[in-house]
Amino acid sequence: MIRKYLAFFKNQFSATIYYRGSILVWIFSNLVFLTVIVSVWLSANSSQSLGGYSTSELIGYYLAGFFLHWVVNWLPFYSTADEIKSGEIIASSLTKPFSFYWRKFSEEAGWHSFAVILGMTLTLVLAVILQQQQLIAFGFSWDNLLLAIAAIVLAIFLVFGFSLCLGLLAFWFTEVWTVDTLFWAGRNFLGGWYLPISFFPGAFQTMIRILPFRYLFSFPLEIFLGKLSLTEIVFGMAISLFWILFFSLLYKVMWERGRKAYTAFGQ
Amino acid sequence: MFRYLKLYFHFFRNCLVRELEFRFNAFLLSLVHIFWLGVMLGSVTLIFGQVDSLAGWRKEEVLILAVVGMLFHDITEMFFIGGLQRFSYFIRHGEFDFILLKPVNSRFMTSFRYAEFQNIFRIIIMIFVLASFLRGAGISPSIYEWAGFSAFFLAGLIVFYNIFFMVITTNFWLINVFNFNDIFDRFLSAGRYPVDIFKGRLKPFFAYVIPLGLIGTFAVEIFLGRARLVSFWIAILMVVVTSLLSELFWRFALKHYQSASS
Repeated sequence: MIRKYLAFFKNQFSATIYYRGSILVWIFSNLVFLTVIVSVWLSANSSQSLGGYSTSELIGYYLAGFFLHWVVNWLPFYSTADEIKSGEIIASSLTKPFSFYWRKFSEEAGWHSFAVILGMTLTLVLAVILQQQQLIAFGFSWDNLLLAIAAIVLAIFLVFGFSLCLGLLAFWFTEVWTVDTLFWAGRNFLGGWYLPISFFPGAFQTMIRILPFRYLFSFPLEIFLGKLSLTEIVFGMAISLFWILFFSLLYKVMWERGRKAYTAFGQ
Repeated sequence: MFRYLKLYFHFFRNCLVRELEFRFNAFLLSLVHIFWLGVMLGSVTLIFGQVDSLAGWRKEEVLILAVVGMLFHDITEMFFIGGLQRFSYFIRHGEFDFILLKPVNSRFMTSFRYAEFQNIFRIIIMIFVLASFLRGAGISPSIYEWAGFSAFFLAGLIVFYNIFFMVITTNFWLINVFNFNDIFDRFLSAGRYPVDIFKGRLKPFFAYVIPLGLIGTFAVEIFLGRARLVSFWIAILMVVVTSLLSELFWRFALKHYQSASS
């Protein structure tokens, strides 16, 4: 059984190496974002702490986020929506004896294993450069690192489940790119990609702590940077697990009903 | 020239008709784009909840710049990014051959065949938002200031069109790179912040190599009464240099094109 999924993993890994130029482009475009946002904070004139962060902690937040972006973004939305829209899913999955969920998971794993190595190397180089210029600060602790890794694993399953469910909407609506745009708006704004959630006013923060977006991105960063108490971490992990369970169940319902509702045109 | 204007009109109309065939999707997408505008302005507001100024720019000034930057982004997307984004696909699938076979300038076809309308409502809204932000900041530009603003804005559009065109021209060789537009998108987003935020060695890169100031900073500085003569020279120089380079590079690349079709 495992061998089937290993084949998908290897296949996607090879495809990623073939499209390595595109990965370099993604790395470069994320580097541009990092450079801009670091420059914004270095140019900021403020008489108070920045949402509970010092400038060097904030730069550390974005640098760690730069790496995390490569690790957690398991996004089967695009390939799922495309396969359903084009009818390819009939030959690739509906008539084959394996789980669609784990097939997509294996493919994403293949993609990410290459991207993570590249992303980690680059992040370490950047960390050394920024450290030499005394621009970043981490209050490093092994406990926080281990808890952050646990939160990253949860984030991967959460992003994956969320993105897969959005992709399955194509069974009913065919053209579903709009929901992807909404997903990114939620993830970037409410998930802490643009700004740490401590920048939001109190009422917003309560809402953000319940919605899934924070657990897609900023939660592991907050743990790693030592911004959360143990109670907050446990609460956050519980909310993450709730959303993972929610999207797993939603996937099952959508997959069963979607297959029955699906009509594809032959070629 | 007139022939090309007429042709462009037909392309534009054709894209609009196609867009209106999926009215609900277009409407939904417009709403999402308006939501993004809120996200962008919300981010600036949240930043200024923590800081007093950015590189000497006050909140209301950065908000004006953010709107101008988004307007710039949407106009590029509407008029040429849609076409240029498809270029990589055309090369990979051999469809560029059909463009070369047409009795029309291939650069024109590559750049302006497709227009995108998903941002049109946001563009209209942003014009009103810009007017409101200007009024809020106590700025009432004269006709000369509007002319100067428009000239910088137009120069920026030409320069970034040329730069993006040069970047996608590399697809003749880098066939398996399909996401150059991501870089372009990042640069356009960066243009929503004052170019003064960049310090040290980054400043010449972002000011001269990738002239981010042309996206919004230079134009908005006219409204703020802080226009610099050097910005004017940069704009002229970049328009001339990028126009020449992009055309030469395109001609060079065309000579090395090997069709992917069988």
